[in-house]
Amino acid sequence: MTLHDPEIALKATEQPDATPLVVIDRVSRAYRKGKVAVPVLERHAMTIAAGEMLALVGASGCGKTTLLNLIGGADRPDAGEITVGETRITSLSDGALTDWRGRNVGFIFQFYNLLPALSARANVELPLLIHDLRAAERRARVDNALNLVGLEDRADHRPEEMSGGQQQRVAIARALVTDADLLLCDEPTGDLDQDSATRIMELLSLLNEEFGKTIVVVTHDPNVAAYAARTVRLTRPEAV
Amino acid sequence: MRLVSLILRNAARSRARVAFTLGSVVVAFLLLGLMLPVLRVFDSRVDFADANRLMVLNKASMMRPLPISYGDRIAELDNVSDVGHFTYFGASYRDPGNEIPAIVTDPAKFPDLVDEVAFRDEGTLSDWQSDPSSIAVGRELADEYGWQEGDLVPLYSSIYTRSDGNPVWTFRVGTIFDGATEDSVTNSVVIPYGFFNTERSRGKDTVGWYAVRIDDANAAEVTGEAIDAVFENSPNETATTTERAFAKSFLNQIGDFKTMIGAALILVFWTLVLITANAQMQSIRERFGDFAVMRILGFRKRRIAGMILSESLLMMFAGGVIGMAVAAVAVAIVAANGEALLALLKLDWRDWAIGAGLMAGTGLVVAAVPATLAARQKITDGLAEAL
Ligand SMILES: Nc1ncnc2c1ncn2[C@@H]1O[C@H](COP(=O)(O)OP(=O)(O)OP(=O)(O)O)[C@@H](O)[C@H]1O
Ligand SMILES: [Mg+2]
Repeated sequence: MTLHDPEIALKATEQPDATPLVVIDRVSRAYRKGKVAVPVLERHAMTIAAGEMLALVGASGCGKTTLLNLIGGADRPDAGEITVGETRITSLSDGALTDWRGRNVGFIFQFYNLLPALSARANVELPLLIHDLRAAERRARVDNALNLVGLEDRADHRPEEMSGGQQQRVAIARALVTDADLLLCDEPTGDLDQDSATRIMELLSLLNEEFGKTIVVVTHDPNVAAYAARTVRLTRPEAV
Repeated sequence: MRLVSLILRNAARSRARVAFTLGSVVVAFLLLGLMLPVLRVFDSRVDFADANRLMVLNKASMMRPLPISYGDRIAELDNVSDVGHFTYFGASYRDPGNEIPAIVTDPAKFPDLVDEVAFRDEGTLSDWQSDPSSIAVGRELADEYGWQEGDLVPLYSSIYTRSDGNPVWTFRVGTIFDGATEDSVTNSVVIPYGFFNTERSRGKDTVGWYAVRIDDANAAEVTGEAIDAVFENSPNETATTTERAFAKSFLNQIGDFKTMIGAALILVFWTLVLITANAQMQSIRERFGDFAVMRILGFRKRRIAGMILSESLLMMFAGGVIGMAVAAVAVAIVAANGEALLALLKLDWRDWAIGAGLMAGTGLVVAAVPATLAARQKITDGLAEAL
């Protein structure tokens, strides 16, 4: 693991020629404000390669979170198609999309979004409850994920008993436990101090380099973007 | 970790609210468990009257007697299969205030005419029927005073003195009868008419009322009119009703009481539904963010709705079973120490079935709206809410 130089990383912004994992084909998404539809994404197109680590940057309100939710199947576009791997997720029924999300995508949020009633272990186990796994198998996977993020000794702590950095590592373990190929991180270090942020980014780099996870990181922080091999800058439609 | 454990862990986080909600459910089902047996005892009292029996009373007043000669004339009428008569004795035992139900009738006819009693011992039955100064005693009464066959029992009559002016009548206990069913009340004394009629100082050759058994219950009204027609314009005109109609009119006030209890129960339940629905709603609204996270992790809408529903049902059944169990114990204690109607109180399987139905129904009603809202919310809205 190396500390990436931000200067070098920012230069590597051209399209990679590896096999694409995510293909976004002229996707539009607008929000209604009263009677007016405010466009956020308009015929947006991009490709994310399998195994790539990508930084998504842009001004506040330009649609980064919106795009991430669309890629992960947490939201649906008004027009356009999104294909992830073999699956055209924009054609899936609601139930099928939910199942697909549970198997193929790991989400990591700025404010961790752990369930406050549950211990770290139970939070990590949560996505496995919908998979058809025996208790021993679930336990093994949870231990594995907690080991990977270095929190095996915090397994029984509840979120309020942990620091922000630790909570974010629990969230990463929760995203890893289903062995999803695609990790979508929305400002994963936005609420963390410098040291914790570094630790999180090194963890994500490791997952990308050693485990081949495809990772999209939304960030405002150039130091964070520097960990990515490629940076995409998003702009609002009216500014184009 | 299973779904139930997820629910319990959430409950553990808001102990005070869960305790409050659970408490209101316990109280509601406690009330239900106390009231259902009472309502049923009222019902059993209305049912005891027989549609196949007519009561012939003095038209002028229920309290005035009728001549003994009427019996034979009633027996000749169509549809009449049997005629018996009864006279109220007005008995008390030991102390004039200690009244016990005592009735004078023809011992030969009594066992056939009254279905609610059962004579299990043929020997003592014929003993009673052949000894004019012996009485038949109900099991409950005999047990209460420790009377046995052969004991001499002095009964004070507030209505009839003997020929020598003495109001105390001493009878031998001839037989002890049981109830025909478990619900039958056996706390009365039955006195033979012959001896009583000869001995009493006034009212000779009269009876309190006639009980007429008829073949066809559907013709009860016609037969009743026919009986009253026979005695029309005589010094003692009659008024004939079915026993059931008589009992009903007598118990009408109790019927009103029953309606009131029923209305109170419905109000309590409605309040319970509002309280739990409100608490449930609040607790679910607070977790909309959690549900959005679960949806994004791959939990389907139906699973989320199912979880909320299970939570609500768990609450209802936990509180409901506790409440009804407490009621069952309370009712059993009251029945064990109570007399007459109170002794009949019992929380039986019918009450538990009604209770379980209400637990399930209320659980569903309470969860319906929050479950639908939580399942319908957009994931992105839910996540925004979580911040
Ligand atoms: N649920 C919504 N309803 C209405 N408008 C919304 C909704 N979500 C987002 N928007 C609007 O869409 C635009 C893009 O929002 P989005 O959250 O994708 O931006 P972002 O790039 O993630 O911004 P930030 O960097 O502040 O997180 C913003 O103008 C925002 O106000
Ligand atoms: Mg955002």
